[in-house]
Order: sequence, then structure tokens, then C-alpha cells
Amino acid sequence: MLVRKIIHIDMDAFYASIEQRDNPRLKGRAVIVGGLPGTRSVVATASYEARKFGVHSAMPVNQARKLCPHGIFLPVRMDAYCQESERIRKIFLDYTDLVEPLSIDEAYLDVTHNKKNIPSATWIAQEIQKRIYSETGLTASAGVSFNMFLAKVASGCRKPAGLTVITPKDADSFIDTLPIGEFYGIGKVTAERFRQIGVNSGSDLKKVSLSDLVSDFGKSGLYYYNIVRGVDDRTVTPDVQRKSVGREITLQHDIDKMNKILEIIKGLSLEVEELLKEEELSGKTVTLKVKYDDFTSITRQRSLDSFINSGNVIFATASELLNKTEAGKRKIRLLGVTVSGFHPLPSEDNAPVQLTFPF
Amino acid sequence: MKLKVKKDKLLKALQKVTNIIGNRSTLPVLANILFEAEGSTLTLTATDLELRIKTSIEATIEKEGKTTIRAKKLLSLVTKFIGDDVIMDCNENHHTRIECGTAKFTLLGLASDDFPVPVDFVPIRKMKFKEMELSRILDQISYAVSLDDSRKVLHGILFSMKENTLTSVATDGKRLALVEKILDEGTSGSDGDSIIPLKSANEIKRLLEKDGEVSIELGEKQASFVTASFKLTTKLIEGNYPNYRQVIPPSFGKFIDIPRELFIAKLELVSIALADSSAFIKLCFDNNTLSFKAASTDVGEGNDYIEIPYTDTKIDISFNPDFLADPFRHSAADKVVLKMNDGFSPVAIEGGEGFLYVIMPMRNK
Repeated sequence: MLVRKIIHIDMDAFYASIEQRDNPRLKGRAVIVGGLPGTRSVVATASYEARKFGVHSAMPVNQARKLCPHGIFLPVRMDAYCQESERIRKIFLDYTDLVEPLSIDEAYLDVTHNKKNIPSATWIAQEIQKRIYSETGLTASAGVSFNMFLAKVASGCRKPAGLTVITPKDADSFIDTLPIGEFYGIGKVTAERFRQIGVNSGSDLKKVSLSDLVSDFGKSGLYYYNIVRGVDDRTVTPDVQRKSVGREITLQHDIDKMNKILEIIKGLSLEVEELLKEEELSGKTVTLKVKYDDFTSITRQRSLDSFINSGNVIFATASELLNKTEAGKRKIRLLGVTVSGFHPLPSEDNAPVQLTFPF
Repeated sequence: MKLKVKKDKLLKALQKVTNIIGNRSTLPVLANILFEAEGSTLTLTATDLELRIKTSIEATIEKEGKTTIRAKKLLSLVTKFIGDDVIMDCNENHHTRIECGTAKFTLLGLASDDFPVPVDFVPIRKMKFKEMELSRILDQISYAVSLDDSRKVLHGILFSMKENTLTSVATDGKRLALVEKILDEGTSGSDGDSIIPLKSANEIKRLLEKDGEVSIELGEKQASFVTASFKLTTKLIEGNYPNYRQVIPPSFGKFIDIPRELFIAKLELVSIALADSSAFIKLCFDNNTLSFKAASTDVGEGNDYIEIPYTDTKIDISFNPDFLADPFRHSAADKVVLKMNDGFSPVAIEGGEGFLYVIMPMRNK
């Protein structure tokens, strides 16, 4: 079988780096992009200088302020970041059309057949890193390997501005020593469950049988079983259709009043309706996310019989789901409403639509 | 009730009425057939409350009476019975002893008083058809009825009477099938519209025979269809049918004779390259050729063509392959006329004997 050449590019401290580039006085200083201190919002990106103090993304800004009191806290300028993201994407497209963005600051590239006929994926990765730096003044880290999982893990190995290559020959020894928490797709909670059963690294994970993995982790078990053996058949798919549309809000104060909670869920439902209508989507599954005041969060989900995008239906479903949480008994810090399970797209992008009579 | 009946006749009668009986109904008695024995006639009736079918057969009746018996069980029995005659004997507890050949069964029934009584209605329109003719009309249009019952009025067939012409229409909003027929003797009543539910129309189509006549009576909310072998009464769908006339283009620029058999053969052939129901087939009319092209990412692609008399400007047009094939599958005519204006306006297909089909093409976004 043909060995694929996959590159994963991950921008280094993307938001914070753009702020530092645009305002040279911020260079070398602890920059924290996100909400402003005193509010209950969270960190979006922290510069490497701030990370030394233990600040990381998704941390409440007030906590970041305690860890890094001299940090410079900046609001999010999403327009500017999107513009940079688009410039970087254009660079990728010079090499291949098989570009799958994972978020605003990361993407997979399949360069097995590339437009410049460069034989080595490593050379391409180096060239892309150089071009990103010269054209945007930002640094990126790159991972090169033969599947998406390994490329992703590789890009995280030497940050910032690093390049890591995992060849099929190196893959086994690389995976064996990889700590369980660094496998892409294994989050904090799953990692903890693995540690409890004595799985701390890739080599430990390899010893667990497929049937045990599947019975403990369901469908994800098969994914874990495969990736630890370097098997990942996912292909780089450009323009992946959105999988979900949602809105969440961290509340100014923790609340436990049901009417207030429902009011917020109603607001979120209507916002989600608007987002769905903008993208002309309708979905079957409604998910309610609740984070309690102790930061534990849960989600509750229900699938409906038909595709919906109405705020009222979303609200009705979400408020039913609320009964399955401890809302009212425990204080709530964050609420989120998401709709997923969209209509599959027609197989051809330019597939004609059936016209209808004007009845 | 006690009687003797020919097994074959009983079986035929059971097959006529049992089809409408659902598996789960709110009223237990709806799972049963009403048997009424009177004079020398045994009458069987089934209903789902919307639709009621009644049929009668000859029987040697020793004791008149009524009862109800579980339809599906009885049908299974009679299908498997070996013998010529069936004897039915019902006691006052509605236990019916049923015998055929050497087989002996007792089926538990329900009181005939529980069985819903027929709804009387005042007919506002009456008409008569040859059974064959009504059967052909239903066959030519009923596939176009909307299967989505969210728009109730489209989930049935329109019978629109105007100046002694009956127009039967079915549409799902994407294509429309219509048959016009001038009515003669046996027609009376005022002009107006009635919408027959699709389920009822399908039952009527199933029950109609080759010879004989069917008398139709249309009321405000009910209608009946009566032949020598059955009487079917149905609720009508209430509401206004959309103005279907407005979707028929007033004029066409291009008229093309299509050889029906060849067209359908090539259409079905090329459609094999398609994978799913959202698929479309591309037609190209150019220089005395009609070419077909279909492609899908899963399967591959296919091309073919037929020669037709066409020298006008080139037209590319895409269709849902089933919507395009349906009128050809349900027409008996050898030659069909296709009328078009361009690649994105409604296209009309005429198959003779008052048949008209209008189909919306598919258009690139």
C-alpha cells in the first residue's frame, strides 16, 4: 500500500502571537487573550511567556490573573485572527487541495501528491513554516507522518516553531513512550480512567485487548486500539461539513433559580436557531451542557424524529433535558445548547436541486 | 347464525375486505370482519373508520344472524383449508365453529353490535364509469400523490367536476399527473371538488375488475364507490386542493415525439449508474439525438442515447429519474409527446386519452 504523507500544522499561541506582532511592545511579555479580569470568562490563548506561570487556555481569567498578575489581558479580536487564518490557508493551498482545517489555527494537509511535486513531506513542512513566518510574521509547529493521528501528535512535540517527523519505522517506539494523556482523542477524563487500570503509556495501551477496550470505552475503544498500532485510516477531507452548531455562556454569577436558568436556555436556543438559519442547517440532536459551580460539567442529549431548526423546539427539548440534571439543587456556572445530527450533504457539491411548483 | 358457503367464494370475499385492517387499532372490533347472514346472502364488512368495504356472496343459510370474527386469523384458516365447503355456526357468545373438510375450529368473536355502523351521507354529485376506465385513470395518476401527509390535501386524489368533465389530479408539489374525461350518461349533480384519500384510492384500484360498472357518489365529507362485487365508502379529505392549473405552462416552444418503450428502457439503463434517491439524470436534446447521462461518486457513470426528431436549439435538462420514468411506466401509448420551453421550466408529457403530466426539472444551485 502507498504510504501517505500527512502534515499537521499548528500555529503557536495563535491569538497571542498576532497581538504581539501587531503591538511590538507586547513582545516578550505575558499576553493573555480572552475575557478581561474581573469577569468570569476564560483564557482563549496565552503567550509562551504567560504559559511559564501556568496559564493555559480554557482557564478562568481570574485564576490566570492570580497566577500571572503582571500579565497583559486583551480582548479577543476574532476578525483579525480569521483574516490571518485565511492567509495561512492560502499558503497550504499552494501545495495541496487536500487541506482539512481542524480549527482556526490548525489544519491537516495530505501532500502525498502535491502540486509542486516535492518528494519529501518534511521539505514541504519546512517550506510552509518559512512562508508562514515571512508572510505573516507568525510561527507554526509542524508534524509529519503517514497518518493524521501521528502527524497531529508530532506537531505538539516541539513547540514553538518545531518540526517533528515520525516515519513508519519510528512509529512504534514513538507511540510506546507516548504518555496516555497525549494521545489525540484521549482527554483528561479518559486518561484518568486509563491510569486507573494501569495504562500510562502507549506500550501499556497496546497490551489491552480489543474486546476489553470496546467493552470499557465503546466505539472509541476501537479507535484507541488502532491508533496505538499506528493505524488511522481517516483521510484528509477538505471542507468538512459542520457537525454541530451551539452556543454557551458562562454566567456572571452562579445561579440555582429554575426560572432564571430556563430564561437563559431560551435565549441560547434562539441564538442557536439564528446560527442554524444562517447556515441553512437543521439537525436532529439537541445537547444541553451544564457546568456546576465546582467546575464539573455534564451533557444531556436527545435525538428527535425530524430535522429541526426552530428555537422553540430546541428550547422545549433542552428544558426537558434540564430535568435530567441537578439544576436547581446545585448552582450552575455555565449553560450551553447545541444542535447536531445534520442532513447529510448531497454527494455532489453542485448537485441540482429539485424545483417545486409554486403552490 | 348458521350457514354453508363455498370455500373459494369465501376466500375471495375475505381477500377483498381484509386488506384495510390494521395490526394495531384502538378498537378491538376493528380487527374483525362483520358477518351478516340474511336470505341467501352472506355479507362481509371491514372498516378502519375512514374507509369501509362491504362485499356479498351466496350462501346456504340455515339460520340468519350476525357476528364478528378476527379477520386475519380467519383469512389464514380459509387459505389453508382443504375442502370445498365451509360451515360456520355461531352461538350466542359469539364463538363461531368453523369447519372445512375434516378440520374443526372454534374462533372467539365479538358482538356485532360493537361494530361501527355505516355513516349516511347525501350525495351532491353522481357519476358512472366502466370499471376498467376508472382503474386506468387511478393507475395513471396515483403514483404522483404526495406520500408526505403533512399537507393533507396533497395526500389524496382530486376529483374535480366541471361542465360534465371530470379532472382527476395527483401531485406531490414536484410533478403533477392529470387525466381529463368527459362524462356522459349517469352523471348528475353540481360542479365541485372532492379529494379521495390515497389509501382509499389504492383500495378502489385493487378491487376494480375488468368488466362491469362502478357508480360513484360524492358527498360533502363522504363518498361511495359501488360495483356488482363491492361497496366502498370513504371519508374525503377536507380542505382546498391547490390551484393546479397555474402550474401548467400556457404554451410550449418545443414538441418532441418520444418512442415510449425505447425511452423508458434507456432511462432505466443509464439510471443504474446512480446510487441514491437524491440522484438526477441529465438529458440533452441536440441535433436529432436525445442523450442520457447519469453519474454518482459511489458507482460511476453511464451514457446512452436515442435518435429523435429534434433540430431546435440544444437543451440540457436534469430530472429525478423516477419522476421522469413514472408517466412512461404508467402509459399504454406507444408515442408520447414531450413539450418543453427551456432547461429549467416545467416540462409537460402527454400520453393520449386526456393524460397530462407536468414535471419540474432539477436545477443547479
